[in-house]
Amino acid sequence: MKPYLKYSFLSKLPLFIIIIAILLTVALVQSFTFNEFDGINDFTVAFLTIVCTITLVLPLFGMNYRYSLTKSDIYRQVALKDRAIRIADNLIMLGVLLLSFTLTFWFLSYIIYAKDSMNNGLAYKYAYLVPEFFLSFLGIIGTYAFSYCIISISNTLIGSIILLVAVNFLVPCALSMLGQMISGDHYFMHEFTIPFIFPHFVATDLFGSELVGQEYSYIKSLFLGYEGSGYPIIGASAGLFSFISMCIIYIGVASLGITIFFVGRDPSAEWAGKPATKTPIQSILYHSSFLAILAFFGVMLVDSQPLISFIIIVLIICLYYALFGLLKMNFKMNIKEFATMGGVILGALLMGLIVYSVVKPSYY
Amino acid sequence: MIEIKNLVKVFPGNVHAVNNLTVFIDKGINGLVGENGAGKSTLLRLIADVYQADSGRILIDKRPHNDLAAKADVFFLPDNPYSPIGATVKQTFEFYKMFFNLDDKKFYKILSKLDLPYDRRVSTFSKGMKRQFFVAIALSSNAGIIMLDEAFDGLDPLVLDLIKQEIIKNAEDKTFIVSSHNISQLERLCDRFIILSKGSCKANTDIEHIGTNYVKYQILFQHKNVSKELIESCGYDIVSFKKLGSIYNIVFKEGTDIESLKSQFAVILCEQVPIDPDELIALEMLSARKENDDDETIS
Repeated sequence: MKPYLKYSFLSKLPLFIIIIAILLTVALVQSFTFNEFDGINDFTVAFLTIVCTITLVLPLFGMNYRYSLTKSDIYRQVALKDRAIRIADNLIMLGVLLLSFTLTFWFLSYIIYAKDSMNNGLAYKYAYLVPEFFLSFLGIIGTYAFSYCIISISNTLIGSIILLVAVNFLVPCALSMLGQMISGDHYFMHEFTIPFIFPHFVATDLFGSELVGQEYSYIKSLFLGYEGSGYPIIGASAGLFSFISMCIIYIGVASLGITIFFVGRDPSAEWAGKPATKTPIQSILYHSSFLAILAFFGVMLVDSQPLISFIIIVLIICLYYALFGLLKMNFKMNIKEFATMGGVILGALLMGLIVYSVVKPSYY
Repeated sequence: MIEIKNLVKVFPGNVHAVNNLTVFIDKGINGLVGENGAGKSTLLRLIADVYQADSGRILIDKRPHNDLAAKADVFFLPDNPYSPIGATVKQTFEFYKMFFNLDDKKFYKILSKLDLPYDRRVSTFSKGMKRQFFVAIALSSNAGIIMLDEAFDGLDPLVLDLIKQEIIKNAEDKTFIVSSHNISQLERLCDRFIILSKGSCKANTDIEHIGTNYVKYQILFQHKNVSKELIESCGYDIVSFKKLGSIYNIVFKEGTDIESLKSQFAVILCEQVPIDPDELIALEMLSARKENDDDETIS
């Protein structure tokens, strides 16, 4: 085991440098373009995108032998339990990720602190950085585990990517709708979090001595009721809901991911280099993700923008068909699959409409 | 010794790569032969625990093959071995050494015999050189079971001969399984042959006992248009039928009544000739394929 750990760690070391370099570069570029009045700008979103993407994609690297038969041939015949390899690889990858994040986070914080203490004399609420850090830390573990679950279920590279994108779109949608319904807040996180759910942290402004983040805003909302500095105003109830729901989600997906780490046998070699022709769970998740997105827009159909919603639904169906075809390398849709899909679409739309008519969220 | 019982491996799409296979593999050099898609590579990957069988069992020296001690005693060289990106010969060997019990001295000795530079990148090697290098790694393994999958593809005759000599030298107290779809590559190497066809074992025997139920004749017929179908229609069981000029080389199943064939087809010359070991294995493979075809027709 020791040689394998050594090899695994050394092979992942370049990633450590790459992640830190990416995060610092984005933070610097962002600082140049930070707009005090708008608070959040395109580069802030880009920063979040990069952090989230890194966290989501890393399990693919952690299990990089999964999609290659040549690598599977060697890794799987090593006299180690495949579970041990899986756990070691993922823990090392997660360690590299957390270490990169920790160093970047506190390095940026230190720069802001140093600048702040020279100018205004510690005006910034640095105490909030600690819970911000730990929530983000937890978020990264949750995201990694979540991503690992998806990759384990999907079995193929393209399947993993599609599911990661689809689920990352779907979960924030559902969460923002639910949060909006519960809190009744009009200005809620979904505007910024629709494409990405985990972790929303560190929108930096090195020159303006600012370090803001979604979780940071939530935490401040809990104590102060609102926070307007460089971020949207979030009510206390919305902040509380967001904080609790994110904690639940992080812990939930982390538990699910850890369960998958320990349970079952990794089928990588069987799938390596072969098209996925028979993956029921993947298909179910794949169909469900798209259908749920459809249902979301279906609910919007009854709102004030039926034309746009209709166009979006048509586009989503086209995208679904194209991706499904690409995934299976066969654009001929199976009648049975099509009928099932149609039935589930109608069911999902109906359910969406029922939920809408009962709850009637004021936002839409 | 490897004991395989009722092994089944089905790939998605209902592809039965290994189909209820039962075979005992003894110490010595075992040739694993079969047509493309016969299940040779899958069987080796199952033994190496790269693939997981759907049913059946594999025992290595009475221990389950996925037992860690049993796994440590197996070295499998796939047909397309992995080499870290940009690694030199030495670095790749060090990489393998992290995972497997390899002998440095033996490796560098074989490397020098093969005249391969140890400081050159493996990616810059030709196909044949890569093969030589990976076979050298396999031969330096201290494992009791060494499996080479299509390891001789792309090797020139001189190197092939050298490698065969090295295998023979290393085979003492070890089990070698050398798979190939090209029988001539295994010539004068293997003690025993395992013939696979459509995932099943059709023969597992030493070279002396292969093809004992075949007889080969060189025949010259008076009529020039004698066909295989014509002879078979008269009830003769033909395994192989080749025509070279006016001479026919026909292999029959043992016990064929040649005298009656002579009288039936106006034979000018009929002489029994010996069958080469290579040809015997090819005949076994041919016979296995024929059996499979017959089974499929019946079902």
